[in-house]
Amino acid sequence: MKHFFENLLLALVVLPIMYVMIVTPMTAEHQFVFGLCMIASCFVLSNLSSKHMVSVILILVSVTMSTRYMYFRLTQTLVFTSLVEAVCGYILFLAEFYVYIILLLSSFQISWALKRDVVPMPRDISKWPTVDVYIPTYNESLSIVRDTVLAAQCLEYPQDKIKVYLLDDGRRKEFAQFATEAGVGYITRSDNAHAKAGNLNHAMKLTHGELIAIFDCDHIATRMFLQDTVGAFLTDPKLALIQTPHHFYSPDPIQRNLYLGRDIPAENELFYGPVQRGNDNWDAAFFCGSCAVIRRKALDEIGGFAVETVTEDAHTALRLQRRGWKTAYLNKILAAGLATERTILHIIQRNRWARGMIQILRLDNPLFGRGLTFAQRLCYLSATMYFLFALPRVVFLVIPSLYLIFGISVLHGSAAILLAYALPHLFMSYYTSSRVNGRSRYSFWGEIYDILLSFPLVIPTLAVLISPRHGKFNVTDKGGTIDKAYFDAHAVRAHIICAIFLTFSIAFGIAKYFMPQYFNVQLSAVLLNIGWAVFNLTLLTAAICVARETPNKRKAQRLEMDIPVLIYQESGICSRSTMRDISMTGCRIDNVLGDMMLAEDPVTDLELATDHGPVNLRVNMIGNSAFSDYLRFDFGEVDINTRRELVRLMFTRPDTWARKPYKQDNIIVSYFTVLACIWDSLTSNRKQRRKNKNKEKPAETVEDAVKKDASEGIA
Amino acid sequence: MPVISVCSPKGGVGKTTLASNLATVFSQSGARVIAVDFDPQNSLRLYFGVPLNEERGFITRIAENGPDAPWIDAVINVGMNLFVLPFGRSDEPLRKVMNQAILTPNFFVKYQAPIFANPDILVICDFPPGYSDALKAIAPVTDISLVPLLADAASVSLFQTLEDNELIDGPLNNRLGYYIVLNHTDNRVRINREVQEFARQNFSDRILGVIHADTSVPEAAAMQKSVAAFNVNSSAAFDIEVIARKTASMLGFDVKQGTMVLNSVESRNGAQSK
Ligand SMILES: Nc1ncnc2c1ncn2[C@@H]1O[C@H](COP(=O)(O)OP(=O)(O)OP(=O)(O)O)[C@@H](O)[C@H]1O
Ligand SMILES: [Mg+2]
Repeated sequence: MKHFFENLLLALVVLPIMYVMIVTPMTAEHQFVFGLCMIASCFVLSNLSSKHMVSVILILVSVTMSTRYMYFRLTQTLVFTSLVEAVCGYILFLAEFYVYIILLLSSFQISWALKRDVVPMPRDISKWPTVDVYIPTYNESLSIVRDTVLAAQCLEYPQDKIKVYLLDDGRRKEFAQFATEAGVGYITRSDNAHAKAGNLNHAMKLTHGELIAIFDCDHIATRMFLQDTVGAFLTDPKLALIQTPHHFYSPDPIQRNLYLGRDIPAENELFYGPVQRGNDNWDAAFFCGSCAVIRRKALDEIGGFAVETVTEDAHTALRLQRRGWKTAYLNKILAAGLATERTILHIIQRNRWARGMIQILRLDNPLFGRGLTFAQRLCYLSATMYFLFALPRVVFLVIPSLYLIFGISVLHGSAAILLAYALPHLFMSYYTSSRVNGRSRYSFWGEIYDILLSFPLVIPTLAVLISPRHGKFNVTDKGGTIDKAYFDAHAVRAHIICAIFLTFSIAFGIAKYFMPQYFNVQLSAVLLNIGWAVFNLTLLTAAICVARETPNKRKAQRLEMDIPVLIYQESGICSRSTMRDISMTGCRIDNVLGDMMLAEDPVTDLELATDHGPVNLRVNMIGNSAFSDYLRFDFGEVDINTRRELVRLMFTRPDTWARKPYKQDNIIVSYFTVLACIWDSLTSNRKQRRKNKNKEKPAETVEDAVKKDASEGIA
Repeated sequence: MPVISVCSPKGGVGKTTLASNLATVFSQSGARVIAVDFDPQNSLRLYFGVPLNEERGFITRIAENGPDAPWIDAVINVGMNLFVLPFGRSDEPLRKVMNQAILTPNFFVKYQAPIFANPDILVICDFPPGYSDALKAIAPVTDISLVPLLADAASVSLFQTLEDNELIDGPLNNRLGYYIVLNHTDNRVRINREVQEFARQNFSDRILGVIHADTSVPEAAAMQKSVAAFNVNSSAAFDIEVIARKTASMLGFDVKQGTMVLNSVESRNGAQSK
């Protein structure tokens, strides 16, 4: 109660101040000074303290300045002299209004990120619930699915309480055979109704676990996945879902084609970080289709996974929450999968997400209907409305060109006053998001990601908005390779046309600027629009560069790893060495055999000393590495049990995917990084920046071995 | 003072290999070690490069000077801190005399104190396979018994035999008891893996460690070298070192930064010179 009155008091003080700050009209100079003052004070405040409270104040100021700008736009700039101008002007205003709403929603969403801890499992194992692990697949190749299944079998959980099922919607014989060999359940069905959701619902009728863990067929779980997630269900009987991050161990197309090895947060870092943690704070974390655990009882209550949309995951979560079930997001990477391989596939995947989320917006709008708290409505609204970004993005890209080429003036007012209002609004929102999200999203990259998707998404999203009941689920292809660099012009055709158009308009603008005698223009307005167009062109070019596919040859992921290994030579001589890296098909180890006559006495087997006991592999030495620092080996045929041990070794250690946090964003540095990325991409200048390569650990010593044995309880 | 005996109900399981290599490892860590051969085969000395025609041993001392003769005179220095006391060439009557002698109560403390009751010396004894009078006689002065066994099907029954003290009709020593070393393990062989698994599950606190099958071992023996000297990276050598380290810690040796200090020769010399 006390809290409530404190908040009320605060609101009574803050709201009037905000109101005044929003509506007071000012001349260009005054507004300019006012904007500078706000920016300066926020700058000082931000540098004084890294406290969360300061972030909240910054968010508040940023929202206020944006609202002030929107108020100004609404009241003073919508004056047009022709119909064309009016139409274009209102379109721009609506686009800005959309962005403003998203800004408000996401500010609310991320303002209090929850830091959820793992709930430890009870000591009494009899209290642990039974778990079904579902691995749905449709048309992916067995080579991808196989390791996911084997990893699921490595989950550390009482064997009588866990069952792994391969849900094959492709009805493939070799999948059934593999499941039998591996010793997991195989479930298939006669039709493919409702795609993934239908597949899951079908399996639910056949299995009986209290909890259901879901992994997309490329998401390899680490072995503590269940023990880190299941505990939460035991302490909170109303918890329906716990979601963990989707992490990718292969680079996504943007990382591969544009970051070119630079240490920039991947696209999904923002969502599986500030956004979901923020959602979680309002009890609105949502299901993302994989790497999650769901309570069967809750699913039963809503009739299983939602089938009405192509994003069954978010919709299922929404349904659960309408019934009063809670959801949770645990920000700990417990599984990893393959990122989409190529730009075009990335676009296709996002196309589905966008259509699905808009379907939810239309068919089951979170603002209305029963059961949700106000905060939950806002979070779900933010998530679904976000995917309307395509058209507004395109509008922002082309608007300055309208002025530069056709002289269509969509904003009424002098360049000075427009700038005076727009700059504080823009700067503050960049600055605030850089502070709040700076470790998961660097400045300007969000725009680039959106621009990449914008043109291809305009029509599909509009179509779904109008007719939400149409929409097919498409499966994202994964696990392919790219042999040669090439430019996928098809994927970014519209972008290229737009870029040419922008270039042309900039040239036109420059001509106007230097030959005002021929054109009847306001020089400052021309300058302003040229600046805007150049900025647009920069981001657009970056997005286009993503379609410059760089080779991605290595199919088997190679992981650095220092573990003891025994080398058996044909004669039976067995030497100890250290393995330095390993993939599912081969490995590299320290060459300790110097004078052990490799030519006459070749290496036949390796024995890896893993935490889970020894793993033996038949090997062939690659090439003539006898005289180099490392010996390289190819594994021969690997049987399924050995393969499971390799998977366990490579992919299931709890810290497999741990990484140092990204550096805090810096707006200016980030802009130059974008330029550098574009430059490197255009000049095919792929830097061989190995991600801070680990120092190799020294070989295991006798003391290490003694300690290890002691900890395992052997004398 | 510490006496380690290496014995086994079975032959050819690596007793002599383990005894000799442990002796080398300990001596290299700074301990003064005597390896004593109680096996009439008299082969332990060969592991230390003693020439074949050198056939003296403690039993020769008994032949020459009677049952109470001090054995210390037969000890051969074979390296820094490292000594070997060979069995010597013998015949059946002579061995009878010896067995009678050592079975007299307190024989080792009374007559062989410079070796078996010497706080500055670590004694490692190698025995013939199965029962021997020597093994029974040494039990009272032994601190720990290491029992190599192969990880094969035949060994499965032996774990229980040992547990039941059937080897010498009584405990192998009265101090730390016995520990099994699974020798010649090869995880590529299924039965071998399964026996290891069985041993770990049922006798986990009796299993001191494993030694991988490694041809470096016989190769080293043929060249009269320690396994580590033959192949620094030998896995068997590594395993033996791990076993040495564990044995040392059970015996309460001072292990400092990988160096075992057992009243090291240097400190003793230092004390004397003062
Ligand atoms: N870990 C090992 N890897 C390979 N060969 C080994 C290993 N351990 C012992 N050997 C070989 O096995 C044979 C028997 O070893 P050793 O002589 O040490 O056994 P033992 O128990 O002393 O035999 P005996 O019962 O005859 O005294 C030797 O050739 C030795 O080189
Ligand atoms: Mg022997």
